[in-house]
Amino acid sequence: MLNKLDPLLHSELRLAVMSLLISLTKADFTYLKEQTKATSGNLSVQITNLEQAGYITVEKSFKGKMPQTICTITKKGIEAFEQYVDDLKEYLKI
Amino acid sequence: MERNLNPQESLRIIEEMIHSAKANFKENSFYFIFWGWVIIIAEVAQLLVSRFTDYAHPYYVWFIIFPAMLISGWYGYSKGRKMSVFSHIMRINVMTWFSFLISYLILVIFSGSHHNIVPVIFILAGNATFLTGIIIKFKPLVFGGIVLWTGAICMFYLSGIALDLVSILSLVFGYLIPGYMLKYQKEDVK
Repeated sequence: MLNKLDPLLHSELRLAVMSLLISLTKADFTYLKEQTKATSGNLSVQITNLEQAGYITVEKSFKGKMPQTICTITKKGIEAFEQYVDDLKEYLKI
Repeated sequence: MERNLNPQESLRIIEEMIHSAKANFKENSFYFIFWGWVIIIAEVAQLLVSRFTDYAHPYYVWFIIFPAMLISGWYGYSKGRKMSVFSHIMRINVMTWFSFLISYLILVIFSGSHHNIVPVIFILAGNATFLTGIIIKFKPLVFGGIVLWTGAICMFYLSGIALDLVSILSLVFGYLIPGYMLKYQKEDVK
């Protein structure tokens, strides 16, 4: 029987953010916004959802006088992403 | 962007995002160009001082390495602060050169003055240059590493001005030329 795909990751923007973070040690909000072509508001909401699930950590700081939001994937996030990819493979019979 | 995905779409998003997350390594050219020139200047200065003056300690010119380390460290720190992303590949590359720095300091501090450490330093620099070339997939640096190793082999059999010339040529072809090629290439190295 096929596993249900993680609903938190089975969303276009959240999956895009997690796919970027799985390749990077850290990425800031502006970079994620550029790569995903999302609006600031939508991206901010989805990042909060991922943070609340424990999939990423969010660190707010300042780069000069500009505020900076740095996102980093957690161990739980990596495991969830790997499980999602495994489930996806089963669906696609890869 | 909130809508139901099918598995094929999920796979496409993952592939696209992982592909776009590759970092730009062109700024690495600074280190090869900067260190290439610093060491060549020190080599030439030592050669000129020892050949044309009576000064007893021409090797003192190598103290230029320490302010150069500070400049290089400051450049890396300030660039690191401005970077919006830091990838695993970047981290491996930084650690490759950090391990070179530690090995270099161990050699310089603990080997004693009776050993000829210059070829050994070139072997270590060849290792790090070769690995950076592999990590960032930039062939001129891979060849640069091989040039530095070849130079080191020659240095074991040479002395005097011949050793200095091989050392300078190794730096030109091992550091400077690959460094400038990295700096001026049209496409970003990804």
